[in-house]
This record gives sequence, C-alpha cells and structure tokens, in this order.
Amino acid sequence: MDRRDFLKLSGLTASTLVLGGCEDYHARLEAYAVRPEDMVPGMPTYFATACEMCPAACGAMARVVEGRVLKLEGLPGHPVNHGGLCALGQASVQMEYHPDRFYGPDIRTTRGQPSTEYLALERTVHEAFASTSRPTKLIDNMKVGVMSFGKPDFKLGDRKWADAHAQTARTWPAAISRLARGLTSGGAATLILVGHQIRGHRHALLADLATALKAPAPVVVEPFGDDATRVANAAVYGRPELPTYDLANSELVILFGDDLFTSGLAPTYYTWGYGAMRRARPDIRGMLVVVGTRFGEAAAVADAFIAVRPGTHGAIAQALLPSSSGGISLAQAATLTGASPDQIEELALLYRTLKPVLAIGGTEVAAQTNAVPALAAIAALNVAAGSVNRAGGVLAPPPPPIADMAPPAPASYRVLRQWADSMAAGAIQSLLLVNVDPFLAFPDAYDLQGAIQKVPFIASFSTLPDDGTAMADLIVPDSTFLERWGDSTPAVGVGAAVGNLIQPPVDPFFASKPVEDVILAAAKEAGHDLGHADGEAYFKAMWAKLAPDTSVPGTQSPWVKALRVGGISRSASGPDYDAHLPILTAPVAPAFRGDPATRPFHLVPVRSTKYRNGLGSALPWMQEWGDPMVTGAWGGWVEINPKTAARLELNPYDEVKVESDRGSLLLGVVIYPGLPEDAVAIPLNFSRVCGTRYDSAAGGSVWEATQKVDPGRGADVRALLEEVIEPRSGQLAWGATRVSVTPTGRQVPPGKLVLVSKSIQAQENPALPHVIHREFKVWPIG
Amino acid sequence: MADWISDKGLQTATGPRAAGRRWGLVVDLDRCTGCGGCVIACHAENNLALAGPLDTDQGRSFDWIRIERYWDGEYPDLKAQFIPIMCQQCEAAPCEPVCPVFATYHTAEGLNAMVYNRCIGTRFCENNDPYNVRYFNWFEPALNWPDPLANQLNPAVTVRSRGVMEKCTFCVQRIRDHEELARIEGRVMKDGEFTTACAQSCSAKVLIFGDLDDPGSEVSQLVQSDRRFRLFESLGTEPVVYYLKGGQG
Repeated sequence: MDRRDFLKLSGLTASTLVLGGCEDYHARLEAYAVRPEDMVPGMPTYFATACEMCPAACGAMARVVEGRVLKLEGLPGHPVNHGGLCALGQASVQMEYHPDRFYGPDIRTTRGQPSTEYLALERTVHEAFASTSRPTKLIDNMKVGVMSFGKPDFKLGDRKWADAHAQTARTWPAAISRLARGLTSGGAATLILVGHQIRGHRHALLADLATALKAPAPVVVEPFGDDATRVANAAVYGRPELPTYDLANSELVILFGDDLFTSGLAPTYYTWGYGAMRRARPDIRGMLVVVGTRFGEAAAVADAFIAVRPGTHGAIAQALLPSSSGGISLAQAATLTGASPDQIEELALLYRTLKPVLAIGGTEVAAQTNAVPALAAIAALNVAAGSVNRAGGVLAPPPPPIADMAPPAPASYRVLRQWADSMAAGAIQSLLLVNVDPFLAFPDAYDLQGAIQKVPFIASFSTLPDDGTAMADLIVPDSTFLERWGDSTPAVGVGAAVGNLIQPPVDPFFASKPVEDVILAAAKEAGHDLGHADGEAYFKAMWAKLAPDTSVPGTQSPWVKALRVGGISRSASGPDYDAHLPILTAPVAPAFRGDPATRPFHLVPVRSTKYRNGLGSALPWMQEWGDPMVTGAWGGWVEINPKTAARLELNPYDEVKVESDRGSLLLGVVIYPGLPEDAVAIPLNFSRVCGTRYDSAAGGSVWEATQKVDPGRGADVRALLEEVIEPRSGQLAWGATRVSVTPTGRQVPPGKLVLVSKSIQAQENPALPHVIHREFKVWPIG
Repeated sequence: MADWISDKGLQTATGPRAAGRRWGLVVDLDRCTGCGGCVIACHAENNLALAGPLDTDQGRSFDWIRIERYWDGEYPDLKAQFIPIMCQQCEAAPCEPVCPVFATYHTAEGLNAMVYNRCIGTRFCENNDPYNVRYFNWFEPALNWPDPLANQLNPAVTVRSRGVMEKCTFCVQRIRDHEELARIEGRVMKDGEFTTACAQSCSAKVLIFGDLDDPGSEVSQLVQSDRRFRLFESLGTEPVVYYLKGGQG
C-alpha cells in the first residue's frame, strides 16, 4: 500500500464512521466558536462559591473544565477555612456525579416504589450511558463536552439523552402540580423538616411558605445536635448561640470530649485555629489537653490526655473551679472520674498559670444525660479564667451581614419527637423533607417509620436516595450546591461576619431543579404567590438589601462583588457576652440504660471523620478512605480494648454480636487501645437501610472491574441506641446505652470490615522496625 | 548508590539542579490533626481509582498520601502520633535503579517520575521502596467509576490502567501548568504561586510545597528548623520531604 492508497482508505474509514454515527445518533457537537464565554477548551475556570456539605459554611472555589466541575478547593483568605477544605468538602464532587442521583422527578403511586415512568427514565439514561461513556471512550467524553441533559442547549449526546430530557420536561410540570396539591391539602397541617443545607435565605423562603400556609415554621433537623450546648451557653454566657472559640490566640486549650478538629461543626476553622495555636506565634506554642473517655483524633495531637469514665467530664471542670461557685476537690474529682489525681493537679496548675485559656465541651459530653450541667461547668471555666470576650478565649459571633441570614437553631430531639408523635396521631397532612433524612436523627427505638407512614402526602427534596426518600410519594430531585444559587452563614462563630453567596458553577447534570424554583412554582400554583420568579431572582432580591458602598466611585453592587469573591465578610465581633460564673451544684451523675450485669459495656457512638453528619457515607471516597485512628474503611466496626479482646479471645475481623436492650448488630472487631476496658465504640452514620450503592446496609451491587458483589455495610449503630433524653435540653443522650458483646465464633464476611493496612511498618524490610523505633516513636509529644 | 547518582548526572540534596529548581515538601507534624483533607484532595486531583470494599480488603486501594497513626503505651497512659506519608521523592531513590524498563526515573528538578506506558508491572520498585508509597493497579480502574462518576476525572492527569504502578507525583501537572503560564507571561515562577493538592486542602498549613533551591522560599526557610528530620534518613535515600517534629522545641 502506498501513501496515496493509505490516505484514501483512511478517508473512507473516517467517512464511514461519521455516517454511521449520523444514522444512530442525534449528536449535537457544539462548535467552540459559540461556546459560553467563560469556557476555554482545556482551561479551567474558577468560580467562587461555598461548600454546603456541613454547617461550617466554608468558602470554596469550584474548578470547572468544559462544563464539568472537577474539584472544589478552599477559598483563600476565607474567614472560616482560610483556604483549606476538609475531606467531606473535597469529596462533594462525587455528589455531583453520583451514579445513584435522582435523574428526574418521580411521582410515585405506591409509597416506596419508583413509578413506571421513573423506571423508564432510568432505563433511558442507562442506555444513554452505555452508548456514550464506556471506559474505552472515557477520554473522548472528557474532551468533547458535557453529557448533561439538564440543559439541552449545550450538550453532547445521542437520541437517548434527548429522550431523557423530553421525558423529564414532561414530568416536571406534573411534579410541581402534585406538590401544589400536597400543599393545598396540607394547608396549616403541613410540616416542613429541613436539613443543614436549608439556611440563609433558603430557610427564609421556606419560612415564607410556612407563613403563607399558616403552617408551623420549618423545623431544622441536625442529627445528634448541639441543644445541650446552647442551653448551657445561655446559662453561662447569656445567649444560646455557638460562640467563636479563638484557638489561634490561646495558650491553653482544654477540650472535653473529642471531635473538634475532625467532625465538629466547623472542622476547618478549628483545624486552622489549632495550627495557628501551635506554630503561628514565634515564641508561643499553645498547649492542648484532652479530657475524655475515648482517645480519638484530638487526643492524638494533644499534649496530655486525661481519661475519665463516661459522662464524668464535668467533674474535672468543677475541680478547677473555685469552691464558691461549686468547685470540688481534686480528690473528689479523681474518685468520680477515675482520673489520676496527679494529672488533675497538673491540669489545675496549667489552668492557673497559662493565659488565655479556652475550655470547650465536645460531643462526648453532650451525649450524656447530664450534658447541660457538665457543659455549664466547662463554660464556667472560661468565665473563671477571664477568657470570655477576650482574644484567645470565647468571643461573641457578630450578626450576619444580612439580618435574615442568621443560621436557624436546630430543633432538639424532644421537639422532633413531638412532631413525630403528631404524625403518628394523624395531625400532619403533608410532610416536606427538604434536604434531610430524618431517620438519622432518631434511634431505631422510636418507630419513626410508623409515624411517617400516617402522613397522607410526603414530598422529599433530595439529590441522593436515603431512608427519607424511600418514604416519599413525590421525589423532587434537588440540584447540588454546585448547580444552584444559595447563601449561608457559619453555624458557629468564626471571628467575622460572614455571608457566603453560592453560585452555580455548572448546569444541573441531570434534570434536577433547585428547591427554591420548585417551591416558588408550586406555591404559586397552590395560590400562594411568594413574589419571585425563580431562585436566582429571589437571591438577587435578597442580596439587594445590602447597600452598595457609595464611598468609592464605580463600586460594584454587592451582588456582583459577592459573585467575584464568594460573598461578603467583615472582621467583627458581636455584642459582648454578659457572662457570669454560675453557682454549680454537686456533679450530676450520668444515667445509663441497661443492666451492668448483663450489658457490661458502655457504648460510645463516635461521630467519625469519615461519615460525619451522614452525607459522608454515600460518597465512595469517604467510604474507602481509612479512618485516621482506626484505619477502618467501608462501613462500621466495633472498637474493643486489647485487654477486653484478650479476655473474650477476640482478634481483629472476628464477628461479634453487640446487643442492647433495644436491638443488636453483627460487627467486625477492631482492637483499639484508645478505650477503657468497659467501653466499646462504634462509628455513627455509616449506613442506611435504603441508601445508595455505597452505603446501603444490604449491599448487592457489583463492582464491574472485578465482578465482586458488594457485601453491604450492615445496619447502623442507631439500631442499638436507647431513647434516653437529656432532661434540661431535650437532646437525645446517645451515649447513655449499655451493651453486651458476644463472639459468634466466625469472622466477618470479606468486605464487611476493612482495615487499610498499607503503612511504612507493613513494608517487609527487617531493618525498618528498628529504624521506626529510633526515628519515629521517640518523638517528644509533650 | 552515590556512584549511581553521579552516573545519571544527578546531584545530591546539597547540589544545584540543571532545571534551577528542586521541589520539596515540608510536613509540620505539630500542626497536623489527622483530618484527612489532604487524602481526599489527592484522590480528586490525581484520579485515584476506587477499589471497592473487597479489593480494599486485599490491600489494593490507593492513597498517594495517607495518614499513618502510631500508638505508644496502654490506656489510659496512651500516646499516638499522626504522620502523613507520601512518596518522599528521594534523591537516591531505591525504587529507581531496580526498574528493568526505566519506567521510574529522576527528573532534573528532583521528581521521582513514572512513565505509565513504559511500566510493565514487575513491582520491583514497590518491593524496594522503604516507604511503601507505590501502588499497583490490580484491575482496570476505570471500570470502578460507574456512570456518570467518571465525569469527575481530571483531564490533566492520566487515568492509569491495569498492570501499572503509580504513586505521588508532587502534582506534576500543576508544576507544568504554572511553568507554562510563567513562560507565556515571560516571567519566573514565584514561590507559592501554586501548590500541591494536598497542601492546598490543608487548613492547618501542615504541608508546604516549594523550591528547596530558592533561598527565599518558605520550604527552604522551614528546612532550617531544628525540628526537621527525614524519614529513615539512615537508609541514605535522601528524601526531599522534610518533617518537622511535633511537641515542644
């Protein structure tokens, strides 16, 4: 074959391929000449926005390449995260492209069963994927355009994508009408439950809807929330808000309970503060002391760890307080807590000598039946040390830049339970679940499913399937925070007034719609015009309340400026706290449910770094990453002290039955040195009954690369929890359950408990253990 | 080892580089809380494959940077320490000379590089790597991104295929992007104008990336610290990842 023949043959082949493609597909290859103005082939575009994976309200930069958002980075200089972004925020891109995302609205005729129309849409989408994006074509797809059918004007796709778009275009008006009928039939008996993503003006809009319906205000659901902290703060600081903890300028931080840097309400802010406390000041290295039962991430980086019995943290705080305000002796504290008297004395010395000092109560304290008095005693340490309204101590958070953006306070468990009882009694006619899975907030001991079943109409606004959507009559596929407008303020104080503006860096990948668009349309159809055309118009109107800065000629409007920099922030603090030293009673003993004779172990449910508030479990990166302390991946486990494990003849991966008076779980054993012999720990929120393929309790999905069947994550720890309520705050005391542990004599099935084992110690080099010991283990820790 | 280095025309940690830059990373252990933001940031930036529960159980998952945790003592007199471990980009890398096809080699700017389409999967490099930071693709990883999850893949980074070894690259794609940008703008790259994905994600500023040969760079300042040490320094691998000890001092 000569060169001329080769070129002829090549041309013929190319023509055939093109013609063949024309027969099969309605491909729309958009010329780059008419591309959107912010798209340059191969070049990333960055959009300032904010992360909504947790209530921290971190500023974020979305990196977008040719219509696809590829990565979220922290927004440099943002007062919350200071340019960083946590693991959950980094994993949020997997929410955008999650294989189990709802493709379109689903109007179900049988509760819990997808409609035939939705199943048809699912088939269409799967066929479209099969024809366009198998791995052999992976790179092609990445280069040539956007496969989204959410916006038909700019897409690459075949007829199947067009079919999917046409189908969802037909279904949306019907879904909005169905919602409008639900609102009409519900009327004043409509209950709106919202998750942490519904805040800022999104929350205000839903509050407007509730007002229009004469229904109760939206109820914020935050699983295992901070009600006790708010009640204690109100008693000591005078206001029930979550203050700014100024770690960065502190000399001594005493952390009671252990989760602040990895799974607290603002982990990036606290992590930044921790780093600054340690090394940002030339001559000062702040100290960290952790008082807790479970030795977790914060204890690992602390200068000292003081181990206490579950629920006795408050006694240590009271040992540091003057007797005039309820202080107790060091010996009494040692007896109550089991801590070493020498350690308490050393802590007392540090507390007296280092200034400023900052005492913080964590979730381990909040999980007990004596949470409020214990947290009040901890807060009193700040008052007694003169750390309130002082740099390096506790500062009042300033009001948000726009008044109605203030973060709504979550409802206590007691309030949530009252609403659930109302559902069970048939008093609720319509239930809107807006970005929330209410099952995460309830132990299985309460029959929430039975209560929700009594509601005649349930609509769930969600991106991914969860136990809440499984109960819905109408699934409203919500756009992710990377596809819609929104705004937010931090749930805790961060030393500045922050208002994030969330803008959509990309079009909806599937035919989802933002909650605002759907609510405005449905309310209008139900006869309640809320006064705005759609979400974008609504947020523009809300941000127009900010007066432009006219002092500088040519200043941009607040909206335009916020779009450029991700929102507005001002260095400020709120009006000073009117704090006073409370007169404390004798330490209140914690109460536990379960007979110590038959249930010999305290159950310590852990809000883990991996699963956090429940959003983490649905994302495969978060499942696969090994927990920093346990190295556990893909689901849950039970942590057991080495001596207890030896007594029960247990080894890692052995299966045990963990049983409370309320239920039981089969879990794999992790030998964990960071627990006392009479306690076991299990992570929270690692699975759902009706979750995605990654966090489904039952499993069954197939991993295509190896054709292995996913064994599933098993039931969550909520199955074990007793329904014990902290009496002063109404919060669920999720740490008040006792359990027994019984070996089954088996090992867990492969994949049910995974311990990521790769490490420098695992490398088979006989010289290395010695090197590790010499160079690594002898670091000075404190 | 020293002869091998000079045979390749490379220099040790103290010498100048042909490219005028010597990339290095400083890890301040006193700031690290083990939050794992760096781990997931690396996954997102570098298209690290999902292994799934059963293959993770077989030790086949990927973490170009991982947080290791070491225990010391018994409850309640217990201590633990986190240490982020990534490829140490050794100047005298023991993984390099054992590769029969030169798939892994040292660049002029000090990176321990991988040529994926040259790798034949002998895993000799993994066997010779004292830091255990090399990862082998036991299966076709692209298959574990079910539709449409593959849309998250970063087009600037190669999706590795079955039978190929992979490891941390110091986000070489970012280095190249900014080299190109600086070239177009007719200037020299500035310290701190970009960083690796792990360092960018870190709120606590644990990880600092930069040019060790630039006396004004933050990394070259930090490596003067009395707290510095390198992992397994006694092995003579000359890592360019410098750790700063935790604790007082």
